[in-house]
Amino acid sequence: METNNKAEVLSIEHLTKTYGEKKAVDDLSLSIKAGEIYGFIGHNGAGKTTTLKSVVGILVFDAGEIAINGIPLKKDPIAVKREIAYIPDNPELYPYMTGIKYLNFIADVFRVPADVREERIKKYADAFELTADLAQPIASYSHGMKQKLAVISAWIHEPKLIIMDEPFVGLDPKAAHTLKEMMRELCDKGGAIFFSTHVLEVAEKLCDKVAIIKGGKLIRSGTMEEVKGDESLESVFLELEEDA
Amino acid sequence: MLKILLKKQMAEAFRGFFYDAKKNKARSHNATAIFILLYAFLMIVLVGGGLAVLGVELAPAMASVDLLWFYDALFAMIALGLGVFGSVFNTFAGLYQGKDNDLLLSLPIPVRYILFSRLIGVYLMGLMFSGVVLLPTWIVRLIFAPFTVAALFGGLIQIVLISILVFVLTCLLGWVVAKIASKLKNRSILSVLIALPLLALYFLFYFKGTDSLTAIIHNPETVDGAAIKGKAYPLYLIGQVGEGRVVPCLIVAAVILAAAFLTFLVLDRTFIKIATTPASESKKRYKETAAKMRPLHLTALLREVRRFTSNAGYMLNLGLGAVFAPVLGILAVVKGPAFAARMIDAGLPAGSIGMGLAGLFCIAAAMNCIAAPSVSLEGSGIDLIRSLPIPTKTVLLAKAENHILFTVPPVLIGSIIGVIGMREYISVASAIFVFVLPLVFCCFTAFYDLTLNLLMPNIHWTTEMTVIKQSAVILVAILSAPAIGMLLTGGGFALSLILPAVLVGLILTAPLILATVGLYFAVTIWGVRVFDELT
Repeated sequence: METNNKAEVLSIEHLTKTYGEKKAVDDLSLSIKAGEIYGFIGHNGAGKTTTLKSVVGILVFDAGEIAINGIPLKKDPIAVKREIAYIPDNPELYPYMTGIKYLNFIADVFRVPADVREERIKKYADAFELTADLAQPIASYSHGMKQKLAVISAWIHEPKLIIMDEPFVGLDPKAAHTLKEMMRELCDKGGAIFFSTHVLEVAEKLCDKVAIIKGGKLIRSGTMEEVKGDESLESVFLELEEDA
Repeated sequence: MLKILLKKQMAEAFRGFFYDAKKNKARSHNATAIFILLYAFLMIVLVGGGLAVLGVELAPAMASVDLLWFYDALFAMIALGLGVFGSVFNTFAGLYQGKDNDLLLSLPIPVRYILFSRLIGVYLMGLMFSGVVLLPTWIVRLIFAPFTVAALFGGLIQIVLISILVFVLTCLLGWVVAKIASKLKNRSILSVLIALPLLALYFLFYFKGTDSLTAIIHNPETVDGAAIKGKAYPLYLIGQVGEGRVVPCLIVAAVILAAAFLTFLVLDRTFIKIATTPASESKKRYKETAAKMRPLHLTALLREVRRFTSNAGYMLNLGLGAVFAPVLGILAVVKGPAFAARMIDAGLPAGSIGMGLAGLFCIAAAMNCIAAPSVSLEGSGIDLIRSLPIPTKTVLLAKAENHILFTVPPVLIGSIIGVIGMREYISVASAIFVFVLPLVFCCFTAFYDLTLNLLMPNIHWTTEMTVIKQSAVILVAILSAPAIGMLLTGGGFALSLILPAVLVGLILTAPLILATVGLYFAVTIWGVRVFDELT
């Protein structure tokens, strides 16, 4: 996909986040343009989740700048959050709400008009075959159902940028396929996706760009071709892991 | 293995003593010791202190009629009541609803060990509640009644046996609650409806009991020891344990230990099924309904309302003021006029009655501590709300509003009933403050409790009940807010003896408003920062 002339949706410059003495993310910079699906890969503890949480405004970072659609996160976090959606690796949805109440809660927060939300809930809940279960309390949902609900809630306001931490974990093959289609559809409409994954085959097939992080530092990033060349993403990743 | 589990259980139960959640690091040994001592002091002095004072008068009175066993039996029953009532809902949650059920059951740990480690937690909770009654009253008995070595050891044996009896009863009741809960829809509301009559009985017993105790202290010879022995022989035996008699000690110990063993067998056989069977919610199929868009603050408020109304333990432990306020209003109608007439006859100014009533409604309002665990209850899901475009100020204010929503209407209803019932004894001016002062106090406690939780947050818990019942913030809120209410009652009453009611009302309301405004700004400026940085 040609995205060079497209607007920058996410810009991370020199992001640094420390936990005590340890630098979880060290001077990380990257940018994502409209229409891009951007994969973020690295071993456990590499700094992926810390980066994602910093981008969505959950973690206060020590240095650097993050801007979404040109809006600096530090300056106006609420305006930034209106433009994005975040799906954590293990969604902690409110167990005391039903699925539909949770979706309405998220839609209310994002000011999604009633008719629009009805249409989107129907569209995405049907796509994930979750409609019949929306009246059930979330406490009774399986991990996969919670993941589907988290995905629907992320799409409900059609954000400019969706940030996801291991989004395919817990999804059955059909739901994973649906999610991939939704990701592409959102990017085709001018949105962007930034997600972490350990499944390198998924990243290789789905992503327009990819970044590899190790020890909090970005060790390689670019288009899929730039990063892997003629090799598989897996072999490149493993080589970089050993070299860096 | 059991040692590891017990260590985990103890670390969970007493985490607040050893770990500073705000600074995310372990407390120093000194700070831990101070925390434990402070906690023990608060529990023993404030909860058991009142009973100990009663014991100071009761022990010599009972000794004078040679019925010290009745003293021992009486406080054993009070300890039993407090222990069972204080622990029963915690038992249900603590035994069966641990967030780590799946984790522990997936590990190579015998299920019996998991159950046993949790039962130790239940036992300690019962020991704490019964101990705060028995320990001070036992010491009082040794000092204020003729000392015997048998009573010294008998008291200790009684503390141990009663705590085991509390454990047996709470476990069985917790098991029954679990069985019922697994079959009910709308479990939280129904649990509250079931618990309220029990609570009413408890308070009826408590107030009637206090009256009876006072009567006994003044006329100890009216206690018919032989009749009690004949009609309630187990009570007599329990009293004899306190006396240190060997045979009753052996009989009571054998019965209680056998009951404990049988209870363990029942729980052991049913634990895994109850802990792993999802509640039998009837499957409700979703039907599309017209959606509507709510304002942001209402969205945040509804989230808090749903959290509160979904948890019976939350409602029962921290929302009782909503029941007490209207009950207080009814009591004012039933008992108020006669009481007020006596006060007027005694030469007290009419204004003091209104101010006293206003203060009592403040105390009732202070029994609602809904906002006190509201930050901690975000738990690990705090990232969700923080990732959404909703200002933290709105999130925090919704917590205070939720507190106000469940406190102001019942307090207002109680005040209206009370004022109508006592209209002949309350002037219009003081009647205004019967409404205004408690309402301002409701707002004050909402922000006060919220501030306390922001000062002492804990978002790392295994069950919600840990936050709702066992956290330091709840202890501080539950003790300090009514104390402030009592200060207002006493202050209002005392001032109204020398000043006009309107002036007294203004003197009390104005600083309360200022304090509320101050706490509002503390929550919306400093509190926002604390919430945003919670890890």
